[in-house]
Amino acid sequence: MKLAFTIASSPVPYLHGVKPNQPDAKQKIAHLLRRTTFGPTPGTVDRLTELGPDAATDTVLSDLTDLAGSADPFVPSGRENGDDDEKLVSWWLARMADPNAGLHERMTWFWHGHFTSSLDKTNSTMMWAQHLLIRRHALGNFREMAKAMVEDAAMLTFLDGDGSEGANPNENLARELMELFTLGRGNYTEDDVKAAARGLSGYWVDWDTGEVEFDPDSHYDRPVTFLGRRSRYTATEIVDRICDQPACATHIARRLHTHLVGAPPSVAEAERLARVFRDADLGILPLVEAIVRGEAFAGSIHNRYRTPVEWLLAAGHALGAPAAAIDPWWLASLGQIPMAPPNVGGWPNDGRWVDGGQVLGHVGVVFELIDAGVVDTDVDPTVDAVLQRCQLDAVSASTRAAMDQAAAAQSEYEYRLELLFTLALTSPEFSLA
Amino acid sequence: MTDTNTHDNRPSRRAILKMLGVTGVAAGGGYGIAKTLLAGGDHSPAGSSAGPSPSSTTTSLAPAMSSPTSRPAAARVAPVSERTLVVIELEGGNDGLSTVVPIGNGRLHDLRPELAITEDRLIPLADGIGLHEGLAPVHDRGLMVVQGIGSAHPDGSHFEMRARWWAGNSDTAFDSRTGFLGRLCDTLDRGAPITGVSIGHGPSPALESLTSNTTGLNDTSAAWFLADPDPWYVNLRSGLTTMSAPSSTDSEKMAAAHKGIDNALSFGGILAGIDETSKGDYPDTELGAALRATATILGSRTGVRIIHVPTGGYDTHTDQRPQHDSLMADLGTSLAAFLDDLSDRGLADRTLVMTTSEFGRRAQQNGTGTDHGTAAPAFLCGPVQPGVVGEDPGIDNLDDNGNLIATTPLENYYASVAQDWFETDSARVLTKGSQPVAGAISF
Repeated sequence: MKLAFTIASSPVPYLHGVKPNQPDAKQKIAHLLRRTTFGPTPGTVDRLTELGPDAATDTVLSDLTDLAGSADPFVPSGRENGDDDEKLVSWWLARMADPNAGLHERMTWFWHGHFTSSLDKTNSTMMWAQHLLIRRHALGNFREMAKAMVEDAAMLTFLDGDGSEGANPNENLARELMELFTLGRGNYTEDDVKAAARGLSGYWVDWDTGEVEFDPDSHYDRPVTFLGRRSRYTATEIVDRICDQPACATHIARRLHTHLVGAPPSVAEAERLARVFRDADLGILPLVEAIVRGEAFAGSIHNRYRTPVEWLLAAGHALGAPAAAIDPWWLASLGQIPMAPPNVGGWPNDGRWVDGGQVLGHVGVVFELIDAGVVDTDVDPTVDAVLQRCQLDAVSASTRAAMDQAAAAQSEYEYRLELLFTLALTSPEFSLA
Repeated sequence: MTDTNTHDNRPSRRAILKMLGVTGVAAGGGYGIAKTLLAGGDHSPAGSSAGPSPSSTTTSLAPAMSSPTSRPAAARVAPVSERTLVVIELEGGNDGLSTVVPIGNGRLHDLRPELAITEDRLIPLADGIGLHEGLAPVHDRGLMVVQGIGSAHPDGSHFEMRARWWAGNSDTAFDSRTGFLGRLCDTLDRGAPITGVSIGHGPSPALESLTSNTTGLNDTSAAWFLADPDPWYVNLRSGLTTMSAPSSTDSEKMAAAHKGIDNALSFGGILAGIDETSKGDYPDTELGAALRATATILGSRTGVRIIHVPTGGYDTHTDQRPQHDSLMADLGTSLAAFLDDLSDRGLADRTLVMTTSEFGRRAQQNGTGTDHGTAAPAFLCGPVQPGVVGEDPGIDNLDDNGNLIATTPLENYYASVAQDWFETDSARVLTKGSQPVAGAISF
């Protein structure tokens, strides 16, 4: 498939000058897949290395398939119990664990951590609708996604926009919309929060059906001064006004860069990316491409914490687990349940994901995977074979020594394989992506 | 199977599910209503159906309210070297005006016609103020209220204010690489495997330290394999030990990953000493489970000095009254069970409990809830004198945003604990000029 956009023609440091079949090429392609998919799945790195590094990047950036189309949709039972919650989370995990999950699936995951809502305050009907909304816009246009979000049942419920009346509007959605979702702190005032709350007022959510109704009578319809302009505002116009601020593109560029690279961009890089994003009228795919083809991305191998969802899916691929074997319960013990972020800020990418408690959690989940019988016993119980399955081309001397020592100490064939997998999947290298 | 190195004693799936039942929501709990996500199909807020319901708590309170407090534990306090601290962080911004309530205050009822709690539902605390009835069980065991805690330059953002509380600086969290509790751990460290631990939501920036070992756990039962004598586990531990060795070429993140494995192995030392015989009468809630684990760890006497317990659900923008009642009931019963458990373990003379929350809530109600506010009370319990200290901000003296004006910088609240509980010079752990709140901690 040919790319429909042209940023690729700018000078590209990433992967250039690397010949196919060099170890370096394999390592870089594995890195690309760790960040832009939930892989790599066994065999993918070799297949893409055959194509050559440039074509590999093009392939990843042009696979925009929405896997929702390949599965039966989630249908809420209509009964108010936790079974639906679990079913919905499992539905999504199965898409993420699909070996064909690519950039679209990965960006759906990113946006869920950005435009957060939680089953914890909504229900599975609303979260399913929001999930489809995110899928629709995941690689589309940011402005359109943000507009849809301020009229989304789960978002309105999660951040108390539901039933917010113009006379006395609730500030929660207005504040988080600007602080977290669009502008970032320092780019609006407390008065702007109050003004936005008025502009966003007038929506009512039906808890059972998830339908959203706009009631003009409970919307604030007098002029307010918002971000320096006095006008009457609808929710859509609030979002338009926000997206017109240069700070919006910069904020989103910073957030996505942080997700894909593992660290915030330099000021200059943030500005470069924001310019790309603005020039694309806030089109998301060109921003993704600018980040992925950037120098910071190329230089960040194994320098981003793997969050539990990413870790579990990668571990599942390494062991050979079918998508259906991934149990959402395991994620509870690791501290990251999709559709249940800890708060409106989503999940941070910080040292918590490699902390002592998390290491214990990793070990426990590997035990669970082993007990579930998913280990591909065709893998040789050797250190090299196991490391290769875990897509760890180069490991530190201490990881290597630990595995060599374990291979020598554990004589029995099958238990040796399990021990080597347990060590590889809890290694520092595998805990970073 | 000819190999004798079996590892059949890995926990059964059932055991794992049971474990997750305790911790599943701990991971998912946030500013929203904590509910039993993915656990048994319970859609009610934690503390209302899983735990004690507000109404049943209410009815059981009448006798407690009429019996004046006697202080069983305050008579004796352990030497400083034995003292420990438990910090309960009420995530989301606890409504101070529904926790420590001005009695019969016309202005309060004007601002909050539906939310203001009436005198008949309050426990008399001091002249003109009453305590939320859900906290009665804690009041019975001795409670010190510190009024008006906050910042002179408050901010409306959860993230900013939580970061300032974690850092221990009421003005800014900018550039703070350590947390107040982490710095305190540095001064208390006597070489224990773990000096500070956060329970329920993983590691917390509040415990970020320079020299002592601090960590976070989603679940205290996840470390069982560190104590298993089966050779397979011995080989695993030995491998993890080798793997934890850092290299001089480690990036910051790789170094953190090495340190994490080392930290995980340290739990082995704690596990060995854990006494699980005392069970305590905890409610079946996220907080109850976390405090049970807290008592167990303190009971192991393996050198842990500070335990941080975050608990969610306090961001009550809507339906505040039933939600907050339920939260207070959960807090009251969980904490009472914890204090009793400490007594049974002989630890009541050495454990201080303090609450924190990023901010209080707006004085005026907004629909059925309240928006983010500023100053709020917090409380201490343990072997210290009960009472009320600190200046009440006064609901008649609000700032331009309709918020209470802090009378006690959060640094001073922290300084009380540093200086008067741990006898650590507050200048070592807080900004210059931080002074203990007079009378907050006395024996």
